[in-house]
Amino acid sequence: MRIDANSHVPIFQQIIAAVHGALAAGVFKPAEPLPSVRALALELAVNPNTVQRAYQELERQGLIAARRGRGMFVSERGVKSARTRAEAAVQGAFAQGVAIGQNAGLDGERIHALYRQATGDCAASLREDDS
Amino acid sequence: MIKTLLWKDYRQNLRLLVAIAIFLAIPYVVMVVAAAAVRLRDSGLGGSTDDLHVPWNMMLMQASLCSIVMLVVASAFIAGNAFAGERADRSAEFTAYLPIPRGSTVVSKALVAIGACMLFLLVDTCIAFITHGLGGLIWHDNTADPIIGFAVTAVLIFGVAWLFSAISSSPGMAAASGLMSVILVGGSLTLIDFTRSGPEIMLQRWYAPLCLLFGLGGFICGVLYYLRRGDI
Amino acid sequence: MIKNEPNQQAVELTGLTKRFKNHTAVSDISLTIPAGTAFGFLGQNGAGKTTTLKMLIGLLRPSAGEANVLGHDPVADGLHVKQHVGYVPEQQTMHRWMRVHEAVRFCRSVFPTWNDALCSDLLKRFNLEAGKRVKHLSKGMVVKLSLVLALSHEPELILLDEPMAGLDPIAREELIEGVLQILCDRAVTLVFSSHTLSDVQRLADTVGMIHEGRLLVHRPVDDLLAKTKRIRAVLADGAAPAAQPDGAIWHRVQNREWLVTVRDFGPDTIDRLRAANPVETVEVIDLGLEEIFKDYVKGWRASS
Repeated sequence: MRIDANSHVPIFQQIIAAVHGALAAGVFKPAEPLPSVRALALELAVNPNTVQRAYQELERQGLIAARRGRGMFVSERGVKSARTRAEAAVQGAFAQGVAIGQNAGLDGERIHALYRQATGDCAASLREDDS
Repeated sequence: MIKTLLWKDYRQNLRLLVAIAIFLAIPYVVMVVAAAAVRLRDSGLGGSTDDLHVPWNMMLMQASLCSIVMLVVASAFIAGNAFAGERADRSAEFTAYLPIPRGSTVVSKALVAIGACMLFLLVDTCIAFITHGLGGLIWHDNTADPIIGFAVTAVLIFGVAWLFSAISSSPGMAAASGLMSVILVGGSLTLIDFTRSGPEIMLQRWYAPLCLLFGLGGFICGVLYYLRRGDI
Repeated sequence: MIKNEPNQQAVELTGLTKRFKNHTAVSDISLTIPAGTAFGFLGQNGAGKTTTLKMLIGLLRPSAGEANVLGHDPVADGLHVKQHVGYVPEQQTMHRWMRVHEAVRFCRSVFPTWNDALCSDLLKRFNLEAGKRVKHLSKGMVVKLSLVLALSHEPELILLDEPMAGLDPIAREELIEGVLQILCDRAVTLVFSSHTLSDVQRLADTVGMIHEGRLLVHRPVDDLLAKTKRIRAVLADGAAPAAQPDGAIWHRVQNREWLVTVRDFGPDTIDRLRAANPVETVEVIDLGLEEIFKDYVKGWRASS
C-alpha cells in the first residue's frame, strides 16, 4: 500500500481505496487478518487515528469486521463488495469522461466513439494477456 | 534537583571561574618573578646577600592582598554572569521550559556565585594569614578601615551586577554596571564633599552604609525581578 | 483544580493575543484541541506559530485572552504544565557544553515521571552517542536529542515547533517515525507547527491555518480536503457574478472566467450557483492543502 501525502485526496480515503484495491486484487482473502492499525500507521508513516478512521469506514461498508482483541479481518462478502465498488468507480470515471467531453463541446457520437476506442484497446490487451 | 542545578551552574560558569583564577594569580606570579629577578641580580654582584634579599613571606602577603583587591573587581563578572550568561547563549530558554521552580534556580545561582567569590577569598586570606604568621604584620587601630572599605565595595559591586544580570541579556553590561556603581557612589559623595564645607566628611560617613544599601538592595531586587519576570 | 478526564480538551484557547512592542504576533485565536488528537499548525514563517506554542508552555505571557493546557493555566500553573508537556522548540537552546548523557541526567532530575527504559530506547533508535557534546552534534542530531528529552517523561501533550525544518530527508523520516511510534503506543495529544504541507497531511487529525497572527480556519484535515472545492464557471457574455455561493473563501473574475473557492461544497452547490448566476459551464476543481491555504490567505487579504 502506498499513499501520497501531497494529494488532494484525504489520506483516510486513500487508505480506503488502497484496501478496496487490495481486496479486489486478491491480496487479502476472506477471513484473513488485515495489518494492525499500529503496523499500517508506521508502514505508511501516517497518524494512527487516520488508519483507525479508515478501518471504521471499511467496517461500516461491510468489507472488514473486527474480532474482539484480534484486530480487523476481511469479511465473507468483503472481496465481492470490493469488486462491486470497483465497478461503481469505473462507472464514475466514465461519467467523468463524458462530462469532460461535453464541457469541451464534443457531441455524443464522438464521445461514444472514444469510449469504444478505449474499451477496444482494453479488450485487445486482455486478448494479448490470454495468448 | 538542586544538586543538578548546582552542577549545571558550576559548569556553566566554569570558563569564567578559570579565567578569574588565572587573573587572581597574576600578583603572585609577578611577586615570584620579581623576587627571583632581584635574587639573580644580587647573586650576579657576588658575595653573600642573605641579609639583603626581600623577605618571601612579605612579598607573598602583599600579593595576596593585591589579589583580594582584584577579587572585588572580579566579583562583578561572577555576579554579572549569573543570569545574563545563560540568556546570552540562549540556554536560559532551555531551562525555562523545563519544570524547574524559579526559586530553585535563584538559590542555585546565588550559591554558585557567592560560593565562588568566597572560595577565592578563602584562598587569598589563607595565604595572607600563613605568611602573616611568618612575617609579622602590625595591627594598628585603623587597620580594619581598608578591610571594611573593600568588603562593602565588594557587596555593592556584586549586588548591582547581580541586579543587572537579572534584567539584561549581556553579562558584560551587567559586570560594567557593577563596577560603575562604585564610581557613582564614591564619586557623588566626593563631589558633595567638595561643594559643601562642613566639619563632616560625607565620603567617610556615608560610603559604607550606601554601599551596603545599594548592594544588598540590588541583590534582593534582582532576585525579586527574576522571580516575577514574565517573558523569558 | 480539575483533574484530566479522558474526554477533556488538551488545549483550549480563548481570544489568545500576544502583542510585542509595535506589532501583534498572535491575534484573538480561539480553538480547542481534544485530548488524543494531533493538531497541525500551518502557516508561513512569522505567522505566529512559534509565539502561540511559547504561550502554551508558559515561555510567553498572553497580552489578552486565555490559554488552558491540560486543564491548567501555563502562566499561573507553569510548573504543572511543564511537567506534563513535552516541548521541542524551533531552535535548540540546550547548553552546548553538555554531553548527551549529561543533558539526559539534567532533565531526568527535574521531571518526576522520567521513564529510563523509554529514554534509552529512544537514544538507541536515534543513534545518539552518550559521550558526545551537544556542540559537536549535527542539527538533526540535536533535534533528535531534544525530542528524546521531550518524550522521556511520558508527557500527555507534545508540542513540536517546526521539528522537521532544516533537516535532511532521512533525518525527517526518522523523526516522523519516532513521533508516530509514540502516537501509536501512548494516548498523547500532539500539537505541531510546520510549513510543510505533506507533514501536516500525514500527521494531523485537524489543521489550523494561521496568517499574520490570525487563525483563518481550523478543521479536520479530511474535511478540509474533501469539502473545500474551487468552482470554475464560465460567465455569459458581458455578465458579472450576481451572488457568491455560501461559504466563499475567495473569488476572482477574469474575462469570462469566474473562480470561486467554497468552504463546504455539497451536492446542491452547483445548482444553486447556476440558479443565482448567469453562468454557462461549471467545473469543480479538487484542491490540495497548499492551494487551500493560498486561497484562504488571498481571501483574507481581499477582505481586510
